[in-house]
Amino acid sequence: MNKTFKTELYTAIWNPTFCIAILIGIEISMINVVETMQEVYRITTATQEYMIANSIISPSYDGASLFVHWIAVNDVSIGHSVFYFLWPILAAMPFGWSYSWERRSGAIIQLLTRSGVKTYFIAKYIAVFISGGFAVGIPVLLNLLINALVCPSITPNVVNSIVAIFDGQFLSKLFYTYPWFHSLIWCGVDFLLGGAAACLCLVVGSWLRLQVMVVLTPFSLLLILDGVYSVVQRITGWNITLSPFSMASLITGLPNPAWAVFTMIGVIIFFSFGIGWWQVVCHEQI
Amino acid sequence: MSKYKILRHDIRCGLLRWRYLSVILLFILPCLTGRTQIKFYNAVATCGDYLLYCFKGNIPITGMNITHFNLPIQWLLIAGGCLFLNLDYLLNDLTNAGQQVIIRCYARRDWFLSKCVWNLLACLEYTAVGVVTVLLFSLLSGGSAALENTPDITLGVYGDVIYEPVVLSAANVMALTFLLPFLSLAALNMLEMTLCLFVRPVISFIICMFLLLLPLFFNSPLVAGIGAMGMRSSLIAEEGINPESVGIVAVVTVGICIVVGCLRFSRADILGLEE
Repeated sequence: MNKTFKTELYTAIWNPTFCIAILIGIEISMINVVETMQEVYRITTATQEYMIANSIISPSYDGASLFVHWIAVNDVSIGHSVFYFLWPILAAMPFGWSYSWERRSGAIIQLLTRSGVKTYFIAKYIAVFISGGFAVGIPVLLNLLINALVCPSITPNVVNSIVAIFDGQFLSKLFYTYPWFHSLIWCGVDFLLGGAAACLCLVVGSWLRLQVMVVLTPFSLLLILDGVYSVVQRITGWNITLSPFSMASLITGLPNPAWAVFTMIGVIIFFSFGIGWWQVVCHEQI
Repeated sequence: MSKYKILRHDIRCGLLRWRYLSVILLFILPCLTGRTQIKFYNAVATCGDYLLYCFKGNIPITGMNITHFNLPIQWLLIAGGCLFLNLDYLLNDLTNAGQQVIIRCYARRDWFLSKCVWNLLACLEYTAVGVVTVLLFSLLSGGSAALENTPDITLGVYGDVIYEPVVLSAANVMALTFLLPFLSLAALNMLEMTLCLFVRPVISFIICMFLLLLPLFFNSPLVAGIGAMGMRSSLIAEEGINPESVGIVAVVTVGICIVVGCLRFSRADILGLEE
């Protein structure tokens, strides 16, 4: 088990598509950094001018805070919109295609005879999960750290309502007390979401022939789920977001409590693991 | 093998696919959402109203007009669905019988041109299936089959860009919800197919989805996909974009993609294009 897992993880991390996915993710998150730099410069200049004009000694720079501008929060930026729309593709790119490719090339026979079906599937699942998680989590974490070089890390004031994080949203109390801790937890949540989405590739790995369609499966499944949810939400009037695309970012129109976020991740993992197990362990023949 | 036989093969294998049934789902979702909104207006909704709802889009996002922004998922689902459904046909055919066909017909260019024609027809089929789905939805939900809009409903749905009721003829509604979306999607699909000859298909798809997101922020006829957004058209909004300019940009994009694709494909290593 250990050896198979190490081999799968090594292949997942040291392959060109992993690097391409990480680079694309970082490129997109850098769009947000550039936008943040322009915005922070504008805010600080305007604040200083206002301070001089009105003889204010200690102005407030809350609007320039890191926790208002980093990619998970700044939902006005192009970087945010692009990243939180394309994240399922980035998650699936590094290693989601591997099961399909191994079936098609016949390499799976070599692996199954050496490690056994169950070991193969579990090792593959973990490797796909970790690679997908890194592909989403690393750009988000890097964005937070690079934005920290540009913006002051001022704890947002709950009275100002600069950020649309209200009571009932993901660990909102923590956001207004220990924002660094909250932001790092959110990077972890994005890691889990990325990993869970990447594992959806295993659901269709044995049906689809082209790798590109396998890689795009999580994106299309989540998009359809999002579309269905928007209809259900509109009809029932639920006051909670279960939209996968909204859930990946901190700012959602409706409350996204922690239990809902982790339940969504759990459901995706359960679904992908269950169908993957059924396909690979129960029906894969050597 | 004549070029017509290649085209016939593409039409038979590329257009008659089960996956196009999913278009019904993609168009029914916004119709269901639209129905909940339209119910408030106490008017009989027409097919044109539902079509206008499906291709509504959004107003350009700027820091000034937003307190909270949600992606127009249903619009993206419709536009992105076309890109997704048509992404793999060229590669799939190339890795199956395509190489044999190219060898026998002695003309790579004809084979690629046939794929270009297929691409345009596939977009036409996608949009047509969508319109028919909306028409059936309208009839089954107690609405009418008329293509004209109901001014009060349009005012409610497009309230962000219009301030008084707008009357649209059936021709205008079809231009907004069939012709312009078809041209915009055809341009994007052709770009996606051409990009597949240069980069990996996933990267090609990502680039096209990125282009599809640009209309959310910019209001220019040069932005791909903007023709599929009703809110950005001068037929509805005074400050909208002239549909003719959107159409011209789309046609030029298709033309450039065909020329570049032909040049690239005539010299490409087709064995290496597989994935």
